[in-house]
Amino acid sequence: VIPRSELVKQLAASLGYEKAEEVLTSTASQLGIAADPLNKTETLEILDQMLKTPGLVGVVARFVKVRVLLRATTTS
Amino acid sequence: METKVATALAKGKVDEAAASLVGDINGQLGGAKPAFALVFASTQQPLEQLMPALASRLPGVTLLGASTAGEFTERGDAKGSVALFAVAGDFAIAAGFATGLKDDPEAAVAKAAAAVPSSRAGFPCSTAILLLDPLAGRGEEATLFAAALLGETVRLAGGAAGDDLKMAATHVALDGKVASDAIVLARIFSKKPLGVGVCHGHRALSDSLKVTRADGNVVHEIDGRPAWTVWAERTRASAGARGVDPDRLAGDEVTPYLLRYEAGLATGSELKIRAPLSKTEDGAISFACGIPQGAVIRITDTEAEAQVASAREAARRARTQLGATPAGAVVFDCICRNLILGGEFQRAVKEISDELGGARVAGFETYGEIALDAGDMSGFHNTTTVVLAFPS
Repeated sequence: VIPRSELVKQLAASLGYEKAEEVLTSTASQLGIAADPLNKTETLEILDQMLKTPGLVGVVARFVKVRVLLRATTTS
Repeated sequence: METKVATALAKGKVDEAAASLVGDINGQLGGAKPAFALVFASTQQPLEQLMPALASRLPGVTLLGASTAGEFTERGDAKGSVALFAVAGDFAIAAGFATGLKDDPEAAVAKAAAAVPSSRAGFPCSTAILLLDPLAGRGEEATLFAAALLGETVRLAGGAAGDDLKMAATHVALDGKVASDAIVLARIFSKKPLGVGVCHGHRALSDSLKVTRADGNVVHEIDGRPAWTVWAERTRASAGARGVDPDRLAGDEVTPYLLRYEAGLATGSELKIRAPLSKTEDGAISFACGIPQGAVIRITDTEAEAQVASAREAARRARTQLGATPAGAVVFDCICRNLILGGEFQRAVKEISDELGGARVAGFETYGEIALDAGDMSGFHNTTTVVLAFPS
């Protein structure tokens, strides 16, 4: 599982804290995901939705997804 | 094998500069052949001419190059010159080159990375160098794509090319290939890890400002008003104290002004700086990387002493990663720091060398810096000093 605050922190490294929080909140809301912390499926669902966004938001979501998957693989 | 680092700085016409640089390098290396060299050239020594001139004098040596906004070694800094950094010892290098950065940064990074193997027998460590054209506006995107392809454990360092503040065309080079809208991605294979340190000395000047209209790397509106109008308004008092009026800037004074008052994104404990490079006629501001609409920024400022201290801190961080005195270091240093420090700039370079035990250093003044440690989530920086230190 990953707390929302941790996912915001990872996105914020490139987007800034406020934009990261806004985009995570709106994407989760759009997908009907209210959980905190997020499980792996929810995290990937949110990132998959975010990476459809053109521009830097999509690029950052893709990068974070790669890192989340890598860490999940390493952990398991 | 002992690591030997050589640095050189030369002015003049391309052939004269190339001969001087290589003579200097060979003398310092005492006959050892460099594993590779980095070339940092002003617009007065175009890379299209300089790279072949150096290659003919350094046969078989991989040359990575970038155009610059200033050049320096531990012995001095200059404009209109070329700096060369060469390393001999237990190192190997593989590098790739690609164009098309602006239209498709992912494809450009993938193409360059395809020429770079992930390992080299006999070299347990690897560190990546990324050089790119910042005027493509894809600095952060290219860095993230490169980091994703390289893997989480690879440290990445590098810089965005300059063009003596002309903001017209910046170039990167790999051996005989030279282009704008391009990147060079290289992997240095070594027996011991290299150290990467990064630090900036800016602090928030304004309160929070929301980017309300942006397209890629161009910010059109802040808080619903033209970006430049807001920038001038929020920096007028600070600039006025230095005798500068943002409403009376000549055309060639706008970029230096913007590079003093850069944007800061709140990313946690400190601000991540984003460099505004130029303003358009309609009052928009172009940055060295994407700024998403909805981002919240602070305009920042700095003092000269903070710039000197941050340079030394970057060197300390690189040295700490090595755990020993380095043989030498490459420095990617934002042009804004030179504009702020003026005649004091060389003092900052000396502080870096001193922090590294008097090691040889060479570098250039960039339009953006790249530093990404293992596990970091972002790697494109502005207004920082990035130090890439080589083990003895």
